[in-house]
Amino acid sequence: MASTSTSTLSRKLILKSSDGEKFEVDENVAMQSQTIKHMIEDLDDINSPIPVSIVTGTILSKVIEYCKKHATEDSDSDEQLKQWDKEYANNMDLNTLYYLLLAANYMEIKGLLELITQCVADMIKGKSPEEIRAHFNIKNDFTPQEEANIRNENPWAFEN
Amino acid sequence: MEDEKDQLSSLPDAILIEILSLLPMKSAATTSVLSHRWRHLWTGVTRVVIDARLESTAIIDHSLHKLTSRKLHMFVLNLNNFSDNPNPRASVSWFREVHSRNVENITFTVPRGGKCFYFIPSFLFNSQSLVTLNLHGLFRWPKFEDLRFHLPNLKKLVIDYLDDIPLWLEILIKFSSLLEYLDLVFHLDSYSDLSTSVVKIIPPNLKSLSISMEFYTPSLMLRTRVSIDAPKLANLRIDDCISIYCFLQNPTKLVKTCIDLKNNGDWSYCEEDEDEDEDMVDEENLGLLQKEYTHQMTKFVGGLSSVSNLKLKQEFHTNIFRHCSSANLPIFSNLSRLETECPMDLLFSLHCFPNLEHLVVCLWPQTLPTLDFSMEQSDWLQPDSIPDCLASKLKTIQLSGIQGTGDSLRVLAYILSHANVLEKLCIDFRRPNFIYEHKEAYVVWKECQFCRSLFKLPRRSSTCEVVVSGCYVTASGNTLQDGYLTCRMYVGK
Repeated sequence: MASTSTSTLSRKLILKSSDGEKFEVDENVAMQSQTIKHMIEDLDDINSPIPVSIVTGTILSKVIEYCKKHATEDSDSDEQLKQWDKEYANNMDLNTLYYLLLAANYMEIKGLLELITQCVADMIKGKSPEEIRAHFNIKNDFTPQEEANIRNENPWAFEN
Repeated sequence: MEDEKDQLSSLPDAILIEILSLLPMKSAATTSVLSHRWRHLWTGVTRVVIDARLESTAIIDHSLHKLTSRKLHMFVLNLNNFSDNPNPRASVSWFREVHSRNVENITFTVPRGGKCFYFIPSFLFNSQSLVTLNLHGLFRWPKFEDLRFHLPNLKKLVIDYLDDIPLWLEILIKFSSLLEYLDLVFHLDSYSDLSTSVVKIIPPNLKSLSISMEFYTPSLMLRTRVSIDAPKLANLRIDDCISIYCFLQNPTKLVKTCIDLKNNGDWSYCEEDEDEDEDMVDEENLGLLQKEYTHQMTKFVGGLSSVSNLKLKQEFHTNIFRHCSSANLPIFSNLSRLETECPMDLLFSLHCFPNLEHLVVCLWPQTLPTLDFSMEQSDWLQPDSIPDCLASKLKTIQLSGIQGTGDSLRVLAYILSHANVLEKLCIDFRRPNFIYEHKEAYVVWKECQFCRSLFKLPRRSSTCEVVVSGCYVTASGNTLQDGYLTCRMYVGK
């Protein structure tokens, strides 16, 4: 325990994705994940790969890209970092966004979770229910009567 | 195809609610009609943001009533541009709803010039969960007798604004033992009840304090007194040209302080009384009171001596440097940056700031009504000894509002010949409001002359860059030839 808590910057960790892909990363990069932080506190041997069980290699590489950028934030201004975040999120397709959300949630990476939830929220904001359904392929399982009732319940939400 | 699936709906509730919490209330509620999955998700939001585009207060009531989350992280209600007929009591039920959801952060904004003074219910001051309370606008407060304060987790309190100094304020601050950030704005007029005109601010954990007091028709006879006892204070901002401030115990951890003692209102100090006989008495009295003010405020500014970054704005009536020599001020040993705006005896005061690295002074903030280079601004005397900071610390000096007189030149000569480590000296001329066309040539000539004399001055620091900007002439230079600076001049509008 004592040896792991007095970390040095150069220490490497190996993360293993659900599909068996291995990633070697600096400890300070991985430590942005609260989940991994807690895992290595309980770990005696940090040389063995740390399983990130529900995250695939493709997604994990994206998560690591984010963590790397935010581990060395001193080099960039807040403004530059925000810009980077924006481009990072904009380059993802919906499919990747969902898996990133799950990964950030599971790995407890607060910044990444906030970034992606905000990104999805921006997609919903200002859209009509029909537009939201179309954007996310949400199937309307209400009968017309049911839907009318819900609209009547909160008419203020559906006024323009 | 992967994309055809509805993966959003398959995300866990917690994540979806997190997303919905980032939306304005109306947008979040829209999702109730998407599908069964989404039917009630929105009621679990942990942040409620309602802005003025909603059409009636009934909507606020209605949506707040539906909330189900056990902990409401944030409640932001902005009633600017609110079109509904306002009911001042409506706020009580809104606050009751969010209060019952253990709200942590409240921001409530009402129109500045609005006629409706919403009630702030007394139960708001009894909250285990409340961390931040931001109130913007004028409100109706509970009766003092009805108030019981229990805000064990309150860290940040912003009240912008109050039209008097209520009795409960002091008690509220006193009982918020975790309070770290306090921002108070007062707009006081002659009807304000200033009988309680002593305010004590003594939260043990306060780190940041900002007080702004504006007076519409101030009385110089009855000044509010504000006592501060906050040992952990790091940031202080005061914007008030009337009240008297004091520290019960000087803060020792100050970092940044901005004291603005300038009168930013549109009243003047002389309109005290119309009666002539009384005027005589008043004037005498006022003189004494002015002396008392200067004495107390000098003591207060002296109490800031642990600060590292100080901005001090004053004017004729509040200028504490005018009446006293720097002997009345203690040594500010941590001060590395000073920004001030007053015709003070600059070089004498520097003795109080031995570790000053950056100095920004506006010697004469107002613009000149007419162009007059002949007016001497002060009878400058050379200090007895070279100020420590000038000899070994000062890296940048920025002087603005100077006049191109011989006096200014003598001050600058003194600075340049004694500043050992000076890297940059910026000089900005005091600008006239308007220059007649036939005077242009004269101004250009005067400015050129001044620059020529300035750049001829011998300098102690060989790497010092000097930058001058006037109405027509800008010049800068940092190379030394035969012991003199050479420079480039640009003439033109």
